[in-house]
Amino acid sequence: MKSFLHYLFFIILFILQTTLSKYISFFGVFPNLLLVYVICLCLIFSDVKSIILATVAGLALDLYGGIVIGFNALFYMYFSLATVYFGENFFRGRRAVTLLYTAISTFLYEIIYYVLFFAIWNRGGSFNNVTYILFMEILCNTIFVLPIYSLVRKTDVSGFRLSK
Amino acid sequence: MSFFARNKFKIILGVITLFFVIIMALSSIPKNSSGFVGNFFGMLISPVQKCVNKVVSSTEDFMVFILNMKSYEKDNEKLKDEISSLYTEVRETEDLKKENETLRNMLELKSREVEYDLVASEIIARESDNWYCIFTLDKGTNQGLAKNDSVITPDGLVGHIYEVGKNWSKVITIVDSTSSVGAVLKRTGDTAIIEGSLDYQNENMCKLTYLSKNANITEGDYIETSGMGGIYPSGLYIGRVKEIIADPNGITQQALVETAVNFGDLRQVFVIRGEITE
Repeated sequence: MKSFLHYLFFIILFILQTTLSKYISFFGVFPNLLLVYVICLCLIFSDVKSIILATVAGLALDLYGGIVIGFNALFYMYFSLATVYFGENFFRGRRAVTLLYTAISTFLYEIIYYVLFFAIWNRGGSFNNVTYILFMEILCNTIFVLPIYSLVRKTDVSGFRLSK
Repeated sequence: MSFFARNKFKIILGVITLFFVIIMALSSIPKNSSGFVGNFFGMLISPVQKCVNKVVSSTEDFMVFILNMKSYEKDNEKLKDEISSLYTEVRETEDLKKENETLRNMLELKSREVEYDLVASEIIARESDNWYCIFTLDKGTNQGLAKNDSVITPDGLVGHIYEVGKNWSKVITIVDSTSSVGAVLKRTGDTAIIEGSLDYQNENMCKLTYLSKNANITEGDYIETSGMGGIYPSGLYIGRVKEIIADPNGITQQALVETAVNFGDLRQVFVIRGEITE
């Protein structure tokens, strides 16, 4: 049941991100809802199922419109592994940690993306624009992480992770 | 305990990583006239993308229908008024067309009407991040499409195909930060370049650059393709000048152009196939 709910949330957030992102954009910048969801899932549950779901989420993003198919799948897989490790050792159910982790993860994801697709392949983008997009996306993601975190936490019926 | 049993997790991780790296390598092979591997991969992915897109667009249609329910009556009235004024415009245009044809015949000028070989195509996938404005179409070389074919809608220019496979093609839009198009101010005939910009691509706007300092540009001016650059044919409508901005160097003029196409709502497009017959 728990897994079913997690995949259901994933489908809803995937559709939200790919179709209705323009309605939830902040000054023209879209939040990365799936990244936020994967963070919450891996921090709260810290299990293999979360890593599998994260990889599926990355692959779904690639299939929907990725420039290089496999990039998001690979990133989400390793990113979820790191998050699970972080969740097991440092998280302890603190929301402030989730906010900070989301901000840092968004920054890292977008920087890696930018370096791979723009800087290395020389595909443009001025410093000001990149900074603006980075800042706004970090802001968007940290705003969205709170409701998504609460939603995912409600599915943690056993309370196993948070009671640790 | 055997080596495989001890390192099961690491081995699985390594295999999956290798799998994705191979996929990444295959999908990043340049596919102008896609080779066998690139094409095969695209052919496998394309139906999946089509399926995902069907689910996503049906959901969006439903949600937009619910959100806009209240405004339908008002919209209907507005559209009726628009239709009646457009009928009048069409009649006037027909008269002008006939008059123009007669005068051209009298002067023995060649007709300027351009006939395009259009292929209707559906968008099956698009980038969902903040960096690009690129999408995938459900048609490819099987339908006669080729690299650099122009993509339009009845509203105006969308972009061009930069990569093509048997049953898919990727389109780079004019608002993408890596795009540039040769343009002309319809009113004055001055030439310039339309460039996509990260600053404006989500607002359906481009930058008009390299316009002569002496060019007489005003807000509301119509911009079309100039035909220079070898990709786009001339005379494709791009958009209107929204704002004239100061050029930091003061050598040329710059402006913001609002594109005729709303890239956020695009579902179907037309590809201008093959060589242009003017």
